[in-house]
Amino acid sequence: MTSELKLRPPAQMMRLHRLGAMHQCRLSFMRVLLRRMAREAWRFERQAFEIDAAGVGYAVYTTHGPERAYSLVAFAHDLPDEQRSDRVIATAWDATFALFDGVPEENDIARLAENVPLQEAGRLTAQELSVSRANRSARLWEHVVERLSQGMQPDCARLQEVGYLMRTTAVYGSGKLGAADRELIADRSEMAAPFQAEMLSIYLTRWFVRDLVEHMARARNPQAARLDNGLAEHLGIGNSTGLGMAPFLINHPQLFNNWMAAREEAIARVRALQTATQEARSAFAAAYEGAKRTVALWHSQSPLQQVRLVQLRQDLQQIDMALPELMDRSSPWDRLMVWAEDKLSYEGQELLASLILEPYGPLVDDLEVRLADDSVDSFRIDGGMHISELQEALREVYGWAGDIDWDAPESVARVWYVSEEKLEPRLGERFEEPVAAYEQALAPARDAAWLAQALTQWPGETQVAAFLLRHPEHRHQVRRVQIAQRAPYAEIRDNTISAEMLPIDMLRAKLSFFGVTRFDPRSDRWVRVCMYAGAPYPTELAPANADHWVYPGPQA
Amino acid sequence: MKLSHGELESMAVRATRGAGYPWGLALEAGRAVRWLSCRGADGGAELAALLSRGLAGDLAAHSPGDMVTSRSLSGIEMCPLILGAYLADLGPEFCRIQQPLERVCCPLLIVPFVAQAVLALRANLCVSTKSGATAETDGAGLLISGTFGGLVGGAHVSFWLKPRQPVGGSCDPRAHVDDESWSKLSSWAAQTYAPATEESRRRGAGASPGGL
Repeated sequence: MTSELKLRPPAQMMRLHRLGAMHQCRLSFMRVLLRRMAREAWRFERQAFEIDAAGVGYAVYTTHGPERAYSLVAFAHDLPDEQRSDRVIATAWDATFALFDGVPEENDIARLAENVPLQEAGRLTAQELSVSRANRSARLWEHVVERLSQGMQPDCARLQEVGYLMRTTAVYGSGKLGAADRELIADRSEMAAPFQAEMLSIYLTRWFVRDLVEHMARARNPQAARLDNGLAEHLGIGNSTGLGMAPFLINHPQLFNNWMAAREEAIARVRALQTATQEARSAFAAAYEGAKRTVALWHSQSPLQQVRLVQLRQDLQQIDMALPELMDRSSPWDRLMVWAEDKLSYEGQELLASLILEPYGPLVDDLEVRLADDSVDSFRIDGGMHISELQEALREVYGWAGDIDWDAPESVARVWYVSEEKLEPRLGERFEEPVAAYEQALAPARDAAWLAQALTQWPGETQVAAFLLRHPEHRHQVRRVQIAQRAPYAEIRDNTISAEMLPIDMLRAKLSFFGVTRFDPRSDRWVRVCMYAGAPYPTELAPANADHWVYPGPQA
Repeated sequence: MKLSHGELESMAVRATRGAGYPWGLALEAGRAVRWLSCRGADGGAELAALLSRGLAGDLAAHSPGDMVTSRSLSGIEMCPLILGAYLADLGPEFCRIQQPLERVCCPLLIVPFVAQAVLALRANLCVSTKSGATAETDGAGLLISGTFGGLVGGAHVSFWLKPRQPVGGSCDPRAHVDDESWSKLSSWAAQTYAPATEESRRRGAGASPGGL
């Protein structure tokens, strides 16, 4: 079957306009996590909730899996409104968190209390897997606390408008701040898929936030109401995503390839089906209706996103009209996708690409195991390759970069750099700011063009090792080319330093693999999103509700 | 200092770049330091010692290759990063390089580069200096006898293969580096950070502080 599968080609998929239109799907990491935890009947309990009337203190939430336990240790702070900032350079937050490997004892909590609230200014140990921080949505928080304290429920429309009570502004793993390196946990089956520790941390954070808001309402009035379950489920945890995430995709080409390739294979498997059972059609219809509800709730202040949402809503109308006829034929999913490519915006196409997977868990969920990158030798350069072969690979992956005028200012207008201010990743203007000297290696297209130029001076039968000995400045790009030879979805096929490049396109691609919804760009390099909106809370997680929560059902 | 391996690697990459090496070699230096550190060797100190030699300013002079003049006479050290990278590029053929390698600065840094080829060769590699320090690897583990560190002016390095036998040791979950080396690495790394200016803060990351 695999040999017949036609995956959408990298030349089509790895464009920023396409990556910037991606949607979550079955293979998204938070969905992978919840399916596993439901399947394996993970148990959840609140170990401690030591928070005072001012909202200051700590709480511990533990989950027990078949082999191990993990605990979210949450610290709540009393942050003055004027200090609230989502930037990397912030130094205080409404809440700070660590995901502890196991069940913490008193001395662990004491140690974490001294370090976690400081975030980058504190230190963690190999017993912590993830560290994060979150800020309130000030407007919504006050509204909910006030209503509950009056014995009433908050206004549903307001909840849906914002979507979250708190948003994380960074969620770190993999050794940051001294936390455990990924190698320490990569062998655990529950940690095999990417970012599972981070996704778990956020899932438990959502539970904490619900408890905290109810607690603050009770602090105002001991007779305060609890948040209605249905309303609580609407709420996700927001995330304020900035530039730090964009370099990740470029710096992890093998991993990014694995995500894209897994998704494209899933899509190809479904498209290869000759018929769709009634059951599959019903499942698709349910997901599609849910997606329409999500789109109806999806707002953005960004003029760019508003235009795209208008287009997406038009796409939905077109889908409504065309669907019955398309589904009534053989190979319906393939017909649907071919039609979509002709008629819909990228948002509509990628939404459908995700939706057609929904009825087919047993057919595609096995691709979860392909998401991680456990390769040890993808880093090594093959110095025995001949230059002629390298040139051919360059043409194949970066041929389009040869058409760009690299002398034109707009082609090299941007500079990715790191600020000494808390090592915040930033994007500067090459010809307007003195930042070019600090440029990070995040322009593969330009570097490919340079490499191609340099190679023209060398005979085709020379080995790459000899070339690199004389030109070590090209090692980085040669490695990228060789990775891309084996990993067709490794490279973004657009100029990442052009004047028109939108970092949010890269942010969106990675965020869609996390499983987030409601992309709300706040600028070309800053986006608000929502995570776990609609999901069951941990103590209610079960196989029946673990998967399709991302598509809201009809309102009661 | 106790760190995660990721932190040490990240610092090593930035320090190597800050000291003037191209990004590709900087990434490889980070990996090499991490490999050594996982196996109980002070990769950070080795790198700090190397970067102190300032070889990045003229990599061609410090590279292996056609050498008309003996390094013993010229006194020009060979850079272990460019040498190691070259050996890694050669894969299992790396053993064919002309030996001994003269005046190799901080030769312990070479070992991680060839570890993967050693695995493929299913043999053990021994790297030794004239003064008798030896590093042995089966591609996975590392055993050091004698002192590799502090070899100012470079060492004459020989290496050979011997029959495969396991070199033990499991990876330390933490990385260790002495304070002085960390401080030096931090200084070089700081060369890669743009100064914190009001304009950079305002333009560089997009959002205004605070939120809804």
